[in-house]
Amino acid sequence: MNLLDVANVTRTFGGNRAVDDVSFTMSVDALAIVGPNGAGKTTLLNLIAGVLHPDKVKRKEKKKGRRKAKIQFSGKEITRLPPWRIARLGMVKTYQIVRPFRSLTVEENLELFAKLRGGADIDRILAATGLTEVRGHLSGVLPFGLLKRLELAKALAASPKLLLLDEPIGGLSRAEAEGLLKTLLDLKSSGTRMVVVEHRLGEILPVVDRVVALDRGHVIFDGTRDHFFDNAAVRTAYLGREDA
Amino acid sequence: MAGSILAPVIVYGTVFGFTYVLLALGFTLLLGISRVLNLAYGALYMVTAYMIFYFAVEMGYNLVLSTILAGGIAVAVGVAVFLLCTKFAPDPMRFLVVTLLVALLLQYLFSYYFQGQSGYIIPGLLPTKEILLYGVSVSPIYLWTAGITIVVFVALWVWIDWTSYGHTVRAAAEDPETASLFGIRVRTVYLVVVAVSSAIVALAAILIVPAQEVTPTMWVEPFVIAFVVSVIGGLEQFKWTLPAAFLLSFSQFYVEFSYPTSASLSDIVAFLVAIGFIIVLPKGIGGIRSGR
Amino acid sequence: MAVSPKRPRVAKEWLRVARRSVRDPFFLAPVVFLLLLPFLVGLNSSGFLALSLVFAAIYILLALAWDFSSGMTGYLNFGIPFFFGVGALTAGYLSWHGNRNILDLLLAAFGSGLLGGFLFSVPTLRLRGPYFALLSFLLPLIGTDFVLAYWVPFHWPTEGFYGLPFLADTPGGELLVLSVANVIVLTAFVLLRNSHFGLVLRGIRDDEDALLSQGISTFPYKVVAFTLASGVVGFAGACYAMVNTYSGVDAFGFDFNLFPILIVLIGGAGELVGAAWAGAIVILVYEYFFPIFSDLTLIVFVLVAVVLVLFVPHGLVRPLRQFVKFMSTKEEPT
Repeated sequence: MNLLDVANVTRTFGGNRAVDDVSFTMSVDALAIVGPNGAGKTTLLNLIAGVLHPDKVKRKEKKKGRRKAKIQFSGKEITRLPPWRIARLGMVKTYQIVRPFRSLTVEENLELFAKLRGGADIDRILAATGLTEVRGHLSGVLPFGLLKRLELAKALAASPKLLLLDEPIGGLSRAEAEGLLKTLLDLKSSGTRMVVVEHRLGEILPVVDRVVALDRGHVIFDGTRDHFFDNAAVRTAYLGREDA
Repeated sequence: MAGSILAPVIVYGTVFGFTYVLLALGFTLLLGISRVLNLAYGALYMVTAYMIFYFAVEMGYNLVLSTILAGGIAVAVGVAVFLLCTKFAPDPMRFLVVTLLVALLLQYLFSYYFQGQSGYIIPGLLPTKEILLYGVSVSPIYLWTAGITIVVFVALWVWIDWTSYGHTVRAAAEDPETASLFGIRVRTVYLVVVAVSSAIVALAAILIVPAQEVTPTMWVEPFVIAFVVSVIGGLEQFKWTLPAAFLLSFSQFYVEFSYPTSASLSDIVAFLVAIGFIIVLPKGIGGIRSGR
Repeated sequence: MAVSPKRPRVAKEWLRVARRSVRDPFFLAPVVFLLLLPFLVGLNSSGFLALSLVFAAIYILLALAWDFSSGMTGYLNFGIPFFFGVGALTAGYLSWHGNRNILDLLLAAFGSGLLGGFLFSVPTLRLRGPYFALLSFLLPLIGTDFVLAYWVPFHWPTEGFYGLPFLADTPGGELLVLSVANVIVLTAFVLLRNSHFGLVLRGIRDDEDALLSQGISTFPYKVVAFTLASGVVGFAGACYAMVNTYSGVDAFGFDFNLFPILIVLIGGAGELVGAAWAGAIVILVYEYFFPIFSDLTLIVFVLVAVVLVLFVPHGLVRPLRQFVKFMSTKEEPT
């Protein structure tokens, strides 16, 4: 049984197909969803997490062979479930634009989510994400680098079976990113599984086992990172089209 | 429905329905643009009424002049409150509290200054001798109001949907940031909308108040009506205020005539209708549900 | 990770919360103040001070309830007068039917507040804050209308329910009863605030969307908070009726919103403990100035409220707490 099964997911905004009939499965420990800007990465992540719902397939589209969207988490169907239910099942998402609870301290932010699926070890999470020293500080006044760590820590406090990380190193300096990536690797080796949407290719690929690449809503690559850079479709998407 | 209450319910329901439309128009316009709830809206109704009283009765000015002055003051107050709040209380909750406090403040001020003077004290510009409509006696004020409401409704529709300034208003409402990038002065647009909506509620007061009692708590009713109609009609487009207003007025009059009691049950009906819609048809209330 | 059995864990958790709450000087001070007050004023006193403080104590109850629900979640609720009236009427009705046991009346009023609060919260808390606020705004109107409409058909005594039992033999005694009630309510609410339940409520105020999409269903928390608060308000309504030995439609007056909200604004929304001090100050000031300025006093108070909302939204307790913290830490502030 795969950890995550995504099948025929489409989502339109206005006239624009942000995610177009995307399908992939995940059974590895860490998967990256990459692609140039506007490829639909964050939308796809939001669809998986239940923040957005996939489009319903219209009758005439069904006749053309389009199939119903279906998302499964460890075999359980989660398409169209509300996000809090999905989180309860063990799939927790972080935010690209950090959303701490500003009037609560770092520690309190974690305590909020620790109760979600049975008490998590807050001290351990604070240590793992490097936040032990600021545990008593109000999260509203933390610098950006620490806020990104707090996003990760909050998700961990919910004892997730699968982490969905939305641009976890977005906006961080090289050094800060290195630190956070090491944390991700440590988490991976202690058994936390993750799907990472990330724009910064070079830094994220060494962390993951498998890559799904999107371009303008379509899946253009689904394989291991060894074959990623040589793939023709990937090169065209990133480097430009000869026939444009 | 017993035959004896059919006529009054239909006549009053229709006639007052137009009144409700007028009240709701200004509120929906304001809400659709500023996306914050403004309790001072009802207070403007009261301000217009008391200002007419002050100028026409206490000061003895010409009635038409008093009316114009009162309307102008109401619009000025509406704009002033809006400016005050956007400058100092930009988040929706504080905006709401401040507008409530402003309404209360005006209530206490008018209660203090016009002590003991309340009732049917305002002379009207329109004829007041009641006429019979299908056996039901109705003040012509409401009929005139119905007619004027239709005009205002159509004018507003044309303005928003067909004129270029109307399109500007819509753009500013949907996405103020993008609009300002295109050179639209969003602040000015908001002010124009606030002024128009204040003018509409002032107009409603000018038309209707002569047939009503003037009291310091009279700001509550128009606000309740405007709010509930907006909730029922959905907040996206004001054309839905039409059916919503009539739904409310018919419900209220049906209950009033079927279950006559010593006090008005119309607030309770409004509340129940609003809650009913929230439970049964939440999607019709735009995007105001919390959670999914 | 070994999973320990649930029950000792929950008890340990509450002990931790209790210990943390009690050690807070900002909590202990108002508790001591509230308990000492009746004795300072004199249990047998019937003077102006005692009478004013009795009303202050009722308003403090209301302020605590409002702070615990609206102050902490950010969901403004203007329905206090409704549940206040319901509590008063419940007490009046029972008393009229022959039950003059004070405890019965108080418990019944608390219960009717709870029930009413629950029935109202469930359909309406699905809405965003401002819309919930406006629906709650309708409640006092409905209360007044309903009572006026059905008073006669229900064959209730025309002027209202008279002859309720006194809450205590003297205003000083009433103050003691109310102070104890305030301490109990304050303690309960502070314990809840410092627990996980309170964290969620505060999270709702900060960013409810984030809570929802990160796995916490906020609805049950909101309903519990508002139901409890409404129960306390109903209880306060019964106290009000028994202090006046009269229960009628005046308890539904919209004005009962103004003082609790003002008290919370001064004390600081969500702080709970500020309500005790702020309440005493506000009511005493009002009672002192009213004979001199009559209705103008109310106008001034509303203006003060406007100024507070606009310019001092956090009230006085939070900056005070930060000041104390600042003075007592030995490290450099970062």
